[in-house]
Amino acid sequence: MLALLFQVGADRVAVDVRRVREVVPRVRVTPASGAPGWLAGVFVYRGRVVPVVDLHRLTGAGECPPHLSSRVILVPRPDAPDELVGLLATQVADIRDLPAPPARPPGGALLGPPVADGTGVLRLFDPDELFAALGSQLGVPRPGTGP
Amino acid sequence: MTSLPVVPERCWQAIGVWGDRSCPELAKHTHCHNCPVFAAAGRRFLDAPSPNGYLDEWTARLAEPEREAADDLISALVFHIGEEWLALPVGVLVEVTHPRKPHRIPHRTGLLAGLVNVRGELHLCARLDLLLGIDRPNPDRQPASARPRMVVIRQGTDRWAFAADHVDLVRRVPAAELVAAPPTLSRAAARVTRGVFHRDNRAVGLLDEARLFEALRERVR
Repeated sequence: MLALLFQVGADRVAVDVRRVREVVPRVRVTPASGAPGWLAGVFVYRGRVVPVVDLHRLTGAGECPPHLSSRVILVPRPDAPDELVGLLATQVADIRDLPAPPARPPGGALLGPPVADGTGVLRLFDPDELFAALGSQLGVPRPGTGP
Repeated sequence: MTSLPVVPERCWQAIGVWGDRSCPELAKHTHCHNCPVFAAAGRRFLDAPSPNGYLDEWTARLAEPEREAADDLISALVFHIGEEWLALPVGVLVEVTHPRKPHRIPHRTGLLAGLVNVRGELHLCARLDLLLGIDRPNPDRQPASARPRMVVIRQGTDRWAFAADHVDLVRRVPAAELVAAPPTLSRAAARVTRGVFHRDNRAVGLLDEARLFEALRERVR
């Protein structure tokens, strides 16, 4: 499995590249009022409004550092593949071939189960579980339906 | 993060391939590009804070709707012979190589310049300038900046080589940008030209590959 590697706090995380639509540089997001703290905000991607989840905030790792390598990973929603959700992480700069993970029951840590990787620990992130955990809180604000 | 050996900054310029090549790691990695120290240095560059205006620039750029990829793009290699800028669809292109002098064929002159050897295969070398009626100054008196090339083209089993005075780039041209060739073009050139497009303030004649091969077959006999 070809995996995109990135960093969230102290965790090195890998996600299957087939789940990633595009990696874009970090952008200025518009904060959404009344949204949970992990929702960094929304931005306009090619004419569509895309919510951005700050994985650092979500996992309690503080703020995502303002580095050049902090990027937004655009992932399609499992229920609506045309709608994207951005995941903000840092050191999004590497792609590696990893052995395919064994099938396992859903649930568990947000960033996925830890696996041994050389001398370190790598987490195998599954976007489906994130979407399942966040559920309806990730609603995409429709243009023109605001209060 | 990783236990990298402590190295002087920019060791690749001091003891690496851009330095005196005394680094012991070179035996293992051959080139600094393959060395983890070099890769780690590259990563550190990405750990710098993003420069001013970076966020805004990308915010604006990503907000723009994606430009529809035109599906009628023609990719063509642009070159010139004499003063005439021409382009040939890349589909017929085999290779662009260094110029070589064709071996004359006894009792044959005119359109057939002779035979050239390209990677051990003999190709007929045609004088495209004569075929198209282009006035070509003596190639030996070209300016020093000129980079003459030999272009090899193929369609089916037909292979030809011809000399170009300069080979530019492969350009992608929307078919809608093609305009009809001007009437001032010689009849011979108009026959094998599909249209004209403009690049960098120059009019480039896009050759029609089918008619070019046909003309070569018929006239180089």
